[in-house]
Amino acid sequence: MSTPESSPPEAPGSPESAATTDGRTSTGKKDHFPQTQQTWVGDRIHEGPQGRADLNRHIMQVYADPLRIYFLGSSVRNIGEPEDIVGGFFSDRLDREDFFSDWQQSGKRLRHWLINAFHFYLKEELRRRKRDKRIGHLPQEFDVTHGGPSPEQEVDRAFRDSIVQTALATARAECEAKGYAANWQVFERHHCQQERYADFVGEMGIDETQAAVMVRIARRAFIRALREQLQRDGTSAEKIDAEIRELMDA
Amino acid sequence: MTEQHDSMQFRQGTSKDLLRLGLSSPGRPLDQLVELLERVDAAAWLAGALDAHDCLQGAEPFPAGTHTLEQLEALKEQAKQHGSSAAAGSSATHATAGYFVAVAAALNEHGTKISSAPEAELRATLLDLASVTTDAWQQFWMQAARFLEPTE
Repeated sequence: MSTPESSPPEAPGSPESAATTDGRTSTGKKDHFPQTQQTWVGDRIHEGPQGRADLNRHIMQVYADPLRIYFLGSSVRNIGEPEDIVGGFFSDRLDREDFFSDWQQSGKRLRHWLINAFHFYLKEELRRRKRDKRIGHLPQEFDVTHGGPSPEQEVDRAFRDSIVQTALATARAECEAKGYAANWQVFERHHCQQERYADFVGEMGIDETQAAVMVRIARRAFIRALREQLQRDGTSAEKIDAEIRELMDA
Repeated sequence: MTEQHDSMQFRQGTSKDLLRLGLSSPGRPLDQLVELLERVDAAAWLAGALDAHDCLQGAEPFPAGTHTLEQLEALKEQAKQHGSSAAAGSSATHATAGYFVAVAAALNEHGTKISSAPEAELRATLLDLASVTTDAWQQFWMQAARFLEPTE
């Protein structure tokens, strides 16, 4: 992945945007999210205000941590609290009409699109604060100054943790709704806490074989939720395994 | 982290392991059968699949002592032949079901493992089948799995 500095010239939702012309009206704005994009994101946008609210909630839940990580590795990390800066970015960009349709046309993973947009947002913020002279000491230039792994790698790691957490929450809710709360407990003990079945089946009043059957029902719910998260990020179904391997190596 | 995330029972360092669970295992005939049984009335589907095998008609899953080991070996071989000649589809999933029913019945009725599959792999398969069935069929697969050494 290229660094934001070397990214293509599009700056999603930014005044610096070099936007495409596909699907635009004579006013230069798109009518709507392309109907051909049968994705979770596209479906939410077609649902109207409620769908858009659900979409924004999802974005904030999954991508806030990767964005915070990116911010903390930048030269402008002293301009504000990470939560405030990321929150400001979401407020500024997510409701823009073209934000997600531009993403779909970019072919990028959503996390990379958001980081690219966030990069430009931070540069705008730095310029604005310099202009307003709101803070005495500001860096001359915006830069991403990680000493260890690349910023993209750190973002990918944060994204990995975030989608795993989101998939856990989704799968747990599904299991509880379907009467599989005990199955979810077994999953948590075995896969999250990494306990052997033998260490906890006694207190649950089951044997190891029953536990191994129960865990499979919860595990399938988790796997479905996890793969769904990756599809929402823009990975096509046939490339999910490759994406998982890439994230495991991040 | 969000409030929802904070509440999860989640130990640091396990996200890679959890992510790994999401990898698919393409190409296993068993996976097609498991996916199918998850979607349909598994008991009815299995009864229909077993009707194709002369020695098992009406089986529901079998009471102990119903079949000789030779009958079950014959069923397993018949299913293998059907499986190798059938294109992917319903014939292949019927053959897969017949194969594992014979293997599980041999364990349950005779305590004998008639599959050459490694014990851990076979146990995992039987547990997969138990997880997409209920009642008598689930007990049938679980009982067979208990003959094999747990590894998880």
